[in-house]
Amino acid sequence: MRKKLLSLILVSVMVGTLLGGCGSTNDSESSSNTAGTETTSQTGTGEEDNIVRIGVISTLTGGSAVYGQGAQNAIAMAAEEINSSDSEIKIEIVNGGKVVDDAGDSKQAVNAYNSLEPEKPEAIVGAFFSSVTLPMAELATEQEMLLLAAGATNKKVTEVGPTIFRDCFIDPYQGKMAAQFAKEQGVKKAAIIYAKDDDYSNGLKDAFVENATANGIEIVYTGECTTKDTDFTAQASQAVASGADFVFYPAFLDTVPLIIQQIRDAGYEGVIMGGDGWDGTDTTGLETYFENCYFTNHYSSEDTAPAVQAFVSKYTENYGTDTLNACAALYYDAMYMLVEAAKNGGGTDTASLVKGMTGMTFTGVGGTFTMDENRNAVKNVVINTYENGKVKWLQTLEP
Amino acid sequence: MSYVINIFRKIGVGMALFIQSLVNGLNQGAIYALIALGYTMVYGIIRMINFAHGDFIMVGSYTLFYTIPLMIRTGMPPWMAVFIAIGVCIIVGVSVEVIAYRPVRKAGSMTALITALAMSLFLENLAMVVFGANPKSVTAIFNLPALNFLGAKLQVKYLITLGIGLVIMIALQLFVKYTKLGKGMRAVPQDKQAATLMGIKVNNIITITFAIGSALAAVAALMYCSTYPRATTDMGSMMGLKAFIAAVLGGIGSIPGAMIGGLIVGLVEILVKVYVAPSWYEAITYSLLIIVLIVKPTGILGKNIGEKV
Repeated sequence: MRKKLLSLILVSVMVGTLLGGCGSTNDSESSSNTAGTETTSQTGTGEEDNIVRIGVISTLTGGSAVYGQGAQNAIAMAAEEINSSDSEIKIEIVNGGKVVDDAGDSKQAVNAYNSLEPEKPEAIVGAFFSSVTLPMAELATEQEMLLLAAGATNKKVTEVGPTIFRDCFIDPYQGKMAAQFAKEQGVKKAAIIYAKDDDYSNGLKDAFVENATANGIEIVYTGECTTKDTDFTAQASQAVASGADFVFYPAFLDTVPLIIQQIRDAGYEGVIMGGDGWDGTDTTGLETYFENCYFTNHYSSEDTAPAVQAFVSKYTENYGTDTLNACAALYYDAMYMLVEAAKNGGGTDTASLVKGMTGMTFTGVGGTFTMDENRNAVKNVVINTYENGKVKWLQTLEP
Repeated sequence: MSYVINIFRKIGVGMALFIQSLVNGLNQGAIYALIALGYTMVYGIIRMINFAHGDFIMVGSYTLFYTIPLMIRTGMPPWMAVFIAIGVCIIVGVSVEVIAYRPVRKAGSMTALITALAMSLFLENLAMVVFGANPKSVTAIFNLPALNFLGAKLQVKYLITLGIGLVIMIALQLFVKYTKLGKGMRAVPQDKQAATLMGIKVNNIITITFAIGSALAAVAALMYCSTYPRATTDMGSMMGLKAFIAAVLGGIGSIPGAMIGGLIVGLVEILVKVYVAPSWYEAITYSLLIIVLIVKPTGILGKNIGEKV
């Protein structure tokens, strides 16, 4: 009996080692394969293949899908330009050149980030939303991955770790510029409606309150809502009753038409202002409601700078104007920034890119800007308004 | 003196805010009520909660999104688009009934409930494929002035919504009470077999009920889009849930109950947002439902008939 058991164990161990052996040979084969590609890429890199492998994450589903579509078009355009130019550094967008969808959701963002891992990118670009970028920044810091946020304006994003950069300004700055604009307009009493469940909205609100108060503007009403709400009539009627002559609504585009209609329906005719999240808002049928509305943004397609005009005309020609938004411009710049970083850092591996990125001065669609010591871009802010439902550039404020 | 004037001015502003909130609440309540009527109709006839009802409104809203510009182009008033929406919603509603619900009707209420939930998810995902994930802005339906009443700005379209809600509720009540078809509708839930013996075609009655419910959904979509001009693929689930609460609150199966429940939910939501805190409104709505169900399990106007075994 005991012998039988022993032989059984022995047999199973033997079979196990056999199977295990097979598995491990497979493993070593595949690992030697990847090592092979890595060595080729390493021998190619630096002295080397000169290709920056980039993973891109943005929002392709939900209320803000128009941003991700803009990003997709912009990175395809940038990749095509860079790779057909005589630049010695080329880029490769992993995942077959496609943007990975974060669905505008922080949980999905982690999945999106992890899905890129097997593709072994050297840098990751994304995302557009702060709430989505924050968990990704945690992961990137852990893995010492270079994360270049394109549009995440919440202050905390780059504070997460030393490999997190961004090519846009931060919320405190945007809120400050909105308050400065309000002061220039002679505003005395301001009302704020903000989405309580959104980092971006909270960041802008806080900065606006701080700077508006410093500018002698009284905050007469602060109303909360959530990003899921469709009814704002309660907040709108309270803002009107408070006697405000300026309403600040820092939120994302999908609820903007709703709130503007409801505020105007409640009898308010004064200024309504928002941040870069308003970019791409659908004004169809609400053209008159959008008169006297303003928002701060990263860039304006009407800017006369040659870099902007070149981008706008080429983008319009290829993809039309429906998805030509700030998100597209930021992702476009991000591609060129990584090429620049590879040149500055002297290599296309992550460490060289981080080195090249630090303190970089860059000129692109977003103007000329420098990365400050907190790895944030210090750049101009554009104030846009609406005319017959079309976005119209009003002025550019310098930092 | 100026102090006194200031106080009066403040009272005036407070009054205006209250009236405004009341109208806002009634407007939202009327929309909930129109949806709740659909739930109640179906439940009243076949004792089944049609969870896909909210999604019929989504179908209606997308139809409006495509047909309103068509109406404007042909020079007709935009609200006429509702007739096309009614047609589309009836087709969808009746197809859902015939294809999905009828085959499982004998399998019991749990199967019917799960089928309805599946149908709701199916419609939402189908809409995502057909219409895309982007929300669509529905063109303004009414171009109506606003009235100034004691310092409050009252939108005429809000009053129209409320009026339409009331008219439809009364019409439905009369229809169920006094027409032959209505009599059939009341007979079916009492005893299906006896109703069949009396010459009532049970399946036809149920199909007609679904057609009426879906038509109501299209009207609700019109009123919804006039205040909230946006169509999204998931709009039906949240609204459907609120309307379902309204229907249960008012007493599910009762037509005036749906109206009262809808108006209560709408008013409570807006008043809580204005006078308590915006983030509290859902918590308070749901606790209201729980309290009513504890005190009066059949809802405000519901009658306790007792389930037939």
